[in-house]
Amino acid sequence: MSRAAPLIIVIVTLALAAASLLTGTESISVARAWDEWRTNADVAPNWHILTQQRLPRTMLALLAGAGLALAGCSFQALLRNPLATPYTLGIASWGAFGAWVATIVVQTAAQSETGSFRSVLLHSDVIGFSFVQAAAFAFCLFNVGFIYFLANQRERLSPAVLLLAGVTMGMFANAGIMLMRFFALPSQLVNMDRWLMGGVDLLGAEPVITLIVGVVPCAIVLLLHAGQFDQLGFGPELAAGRGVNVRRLQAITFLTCSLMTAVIVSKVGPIGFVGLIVPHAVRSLTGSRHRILMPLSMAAGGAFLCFCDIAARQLFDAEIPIGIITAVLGGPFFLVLLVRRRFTDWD
Amino acid sequence: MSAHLIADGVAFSYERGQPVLNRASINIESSEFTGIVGPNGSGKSTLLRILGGLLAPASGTVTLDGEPMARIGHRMRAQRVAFLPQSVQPTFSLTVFETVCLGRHPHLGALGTLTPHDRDVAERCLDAADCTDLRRREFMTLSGGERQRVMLASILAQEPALLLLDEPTSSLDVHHQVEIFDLLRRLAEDGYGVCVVTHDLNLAAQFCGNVLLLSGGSPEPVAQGTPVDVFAETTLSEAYGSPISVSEHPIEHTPFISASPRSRQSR
Repeated sequence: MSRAAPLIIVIVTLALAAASLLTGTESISVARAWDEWRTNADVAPNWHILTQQRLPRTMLALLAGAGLALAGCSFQALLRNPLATPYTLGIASWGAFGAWVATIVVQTAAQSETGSFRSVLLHSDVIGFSFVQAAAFAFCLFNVGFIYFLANQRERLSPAVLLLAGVTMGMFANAGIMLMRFFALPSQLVNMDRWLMGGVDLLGAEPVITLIVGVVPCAIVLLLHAGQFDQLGFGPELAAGRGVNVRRLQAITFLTCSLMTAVIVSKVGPIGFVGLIVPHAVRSLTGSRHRILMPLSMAAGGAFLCFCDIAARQLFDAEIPIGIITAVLGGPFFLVLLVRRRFTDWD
Repeated sequence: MSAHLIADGVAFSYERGQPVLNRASINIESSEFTGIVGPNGSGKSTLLRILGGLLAPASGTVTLDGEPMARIGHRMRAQRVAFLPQSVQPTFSLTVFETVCLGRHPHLGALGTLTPHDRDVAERCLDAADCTDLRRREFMTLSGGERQRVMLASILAQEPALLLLDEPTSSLDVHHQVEIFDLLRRLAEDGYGVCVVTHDLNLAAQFCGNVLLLSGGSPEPVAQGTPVDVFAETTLSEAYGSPISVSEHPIEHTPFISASPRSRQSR
């Protein structure tokens, strides 16, 4: 491992977070924002943009990027598969399916004569989740619970069944999405396609608090098991021989990662590639020991999403969805990693 | 540190009504080199997993120094008994030294931080397994024999009293097979209790002090004792369901076992 790598990753993350705070269509000054806050100014545009728009956006990028990268890293260890991502087990597809179902239900409600039903669906907001986000989260959890039930047989949790059931459930959800699209109005198709491309352009503190509540406890649980992931990398039998309760570790990892991913997806949409490329990129700098790899993947995941969000705001006149940037950058970057490593690890 | 692992009358089945093992008993003690032999599907690896606490027997008891295995915590067990499975294929590459340090896991705290003592133990285990010169290499770049020595060093880093190894010489050439068994015998002489599952009856005859012979046709063990006692032609032929001849090794003077195709025997 390069000794400077952890320091470089942390510095780059902080620099990109700072850049994200200062980047946007409106030019703002931190000094002026500070003055506005200090003097309790009646008109405080700099302070308002910084705290209500840029800070939430930057925090969302950091939290979502950190969570997705950590989930990818953990799923790769759990499934012993370098191609595993937070979405391999169909979580993103079920989140999208849930969002679509909710959209169609809201559409029905909007046309409904019953005022209370309509009001509940259109204006409900539970712990920072809109009805569409809550439905996405609920569908994610259903998928997680169902494949856990399938894989948790005969007193063991089968990673192979998790993987196959997850992929199959993902296909099933995609079929459901096609059906929902068939019933949707043209305007809803546009809105939902935008949601599917992901975005951290949410306003205010509420979404940030939701992600903090969803990501931080899960991250702590996963980081405390970092040493056990190293053992699992050499196979479940050797890990068990080293004193790891493998079944417990598998269950905790699966449920924690899934919950964390479900919260992220339901809030910012299914942003792809972060969970795949970030752990591999960090691994190539720091080695594969999870005590180092996991926290640095979190930092690098946050940095990557900050960078992509800055690019999404700056590349064109109109802001483009962050999911497009992560895919455009992530795909080629992953191929470069593959070629540079000459497949020696994964053969 | 001495230890005594006893399996007494254990039974196990993966499918209901199809026992793999029945009434199997074995003692593993410090300073002894024990072999578990038998044909494919006779339950050798299953018995080793039961001894290592990885599987719970359907009936019978497994005790470690008089304490039931089921009551011993995962980490406490790993500090006294090390288990090396048949094939180890890491998902991601670590260096040899990092791989050996993984063996310290049962002794580490919640944060998994290695102390200077842990690193010293890892260095000593590298030396004990004759792989100090490999310490900076990537594990995935090693040959089969080198990998096996490194994995041996990594389970020694657990500082256990007993070593359980499932076919540690499978896929190695004859030279490396003998090297690994010689290393295990030296470890037994140093006080470790060593138990190996092996298909190579001649290596078991040459290096093991005790052997347990399991049968292909019955879940119950056929014989147990010294190689000279167990490796008799009739006993082996019964266990393997095929004619086996036993002579004396010209140099080691241990039983020398050879099998012929059934077709040749019937002519």
